[in-house]
Amino acid sequence: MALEDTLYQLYTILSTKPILDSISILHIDEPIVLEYGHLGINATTFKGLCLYAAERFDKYVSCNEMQTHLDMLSAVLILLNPDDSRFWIYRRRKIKKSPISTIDGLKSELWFAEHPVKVKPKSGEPFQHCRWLLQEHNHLVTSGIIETQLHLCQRASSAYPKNYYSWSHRLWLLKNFGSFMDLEGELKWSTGWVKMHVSDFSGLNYRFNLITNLNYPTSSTKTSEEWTTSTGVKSTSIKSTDFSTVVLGSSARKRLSQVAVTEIIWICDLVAFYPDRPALWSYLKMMILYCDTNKFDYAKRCRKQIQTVQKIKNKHSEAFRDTAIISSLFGIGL
Amino acid sequence: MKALALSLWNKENEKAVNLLTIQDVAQFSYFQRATVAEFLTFTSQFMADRTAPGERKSVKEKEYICHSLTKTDKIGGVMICDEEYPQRVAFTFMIKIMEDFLAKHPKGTWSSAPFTDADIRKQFDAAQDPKEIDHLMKIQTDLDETKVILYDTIEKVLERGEKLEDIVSRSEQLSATSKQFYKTAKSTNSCCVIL
Repeated sequence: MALEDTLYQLYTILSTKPILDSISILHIDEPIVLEYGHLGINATTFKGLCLYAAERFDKYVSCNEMQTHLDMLSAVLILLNPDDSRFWIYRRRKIKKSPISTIDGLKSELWFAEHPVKVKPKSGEPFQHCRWLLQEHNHLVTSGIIETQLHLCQRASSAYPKNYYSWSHRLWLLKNFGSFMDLEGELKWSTGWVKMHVSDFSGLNYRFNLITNLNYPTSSTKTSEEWTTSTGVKSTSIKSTDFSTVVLGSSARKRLSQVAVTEIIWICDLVAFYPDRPALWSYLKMMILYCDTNKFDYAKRCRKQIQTVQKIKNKHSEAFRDTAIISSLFGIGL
Repeated sequence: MKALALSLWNKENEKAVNLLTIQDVAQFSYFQRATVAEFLTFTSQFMADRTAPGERKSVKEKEYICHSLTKTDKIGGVMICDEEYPQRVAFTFMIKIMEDFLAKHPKGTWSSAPFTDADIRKQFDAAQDPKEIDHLMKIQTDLDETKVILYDTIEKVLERGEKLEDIVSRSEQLSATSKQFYKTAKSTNSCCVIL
């Protein structure tokens, strides 16, 4: 039967864990094509396979003897239909019964979890599975694994604008595995991202969490070891964006104050160039409120930039009326 | 923020003749790139044909915007970008590239078209960050008050009696595969890139 053959063909490809740059659903004649690390599945075959494999899964899921078959079906189904939690739950239950004990074993399961994102970037289940794997096996996590996860987040955020799932996952990685990350590099990456995605509020929200929770090195000891999160390794108590007062020593406060002011100047510059982007205005408001709450003196140092932004707001007041831009500026005197 | 394609056109006759084409389809999946490139070419020709000297148009289609302008000296430009890319910078950039192009390839040399130009390619790559290139460009479009006509969809640009499906099926820029892809995508109401 053609679908059974295609199912085995697809699983055979997946089980070798090739480098797959992309997975696409296409209007082609062949059911499956693999070229130079790019996997293509015929659209009609895709639909048929989803139904066929799901039917087989439901039939065998309670049979212990069909374990190997179910492993194959779940691996294919999480790729074809990543939103259906049944197949992910099956895999987690199986891992609970026989826990992963090696780094390679963890990487192998993460490989299966990561590839559905290439088919459907806006799906929460693959990221949830990754989080479960990393939490359950945190003694096996390496910086290489976290780097791959960050690339996955970037890929999903690029493929689907303002992708809540990928940004939530990135933030979770920062909060729980920040010690495995190159935080200075992460900040530079975030700067580049925001410049090229000025309407992405999720990316700006991530940046806010990143810059307000880093321990910045002093200028005399700027090594990568100095860049840590203020809550250290595997912590779940990182400060949320509720503008609660930062409790830090005086030199750390001074550094954070300098960073916050530099950030306001930078965002004012972006707002001046892209005045019609509500996300930038909202982010500017977040930074101003953050400085006000923590009594960081920004007004003097950012006077010129704030005046420029006020002029822009007044110039566009008619166009901005009834938009998110005006409502986002309420309460901060801009 | 993405600029996908830039093309320049000889508009001495109503039917535009291509002078230069630059595209960046790396963001699309491997199997889609050839089809996307063809649709970018098709859309650019379509817009160049329908932008008369002195006119500027911006046409939104799905998450992309096609900016088109034709100068009174009969050189046309089409730039296809995503929604994020600022409109003002797209028109400023096209005008600058037209000036650079004319300096190297004056009208008398146009019979050798289409041209390739590595310097213009480099400028196009740099233009992926509109804020960076804006302050480097010498021309200020603030001085230029030419109005841009906005269209919600590409079909609004069609003239009376024209049908997009007919134009697609007659197009020399689209392969049989691309034409079939357009038909299938339209009938299943799935996303057809660019159109």
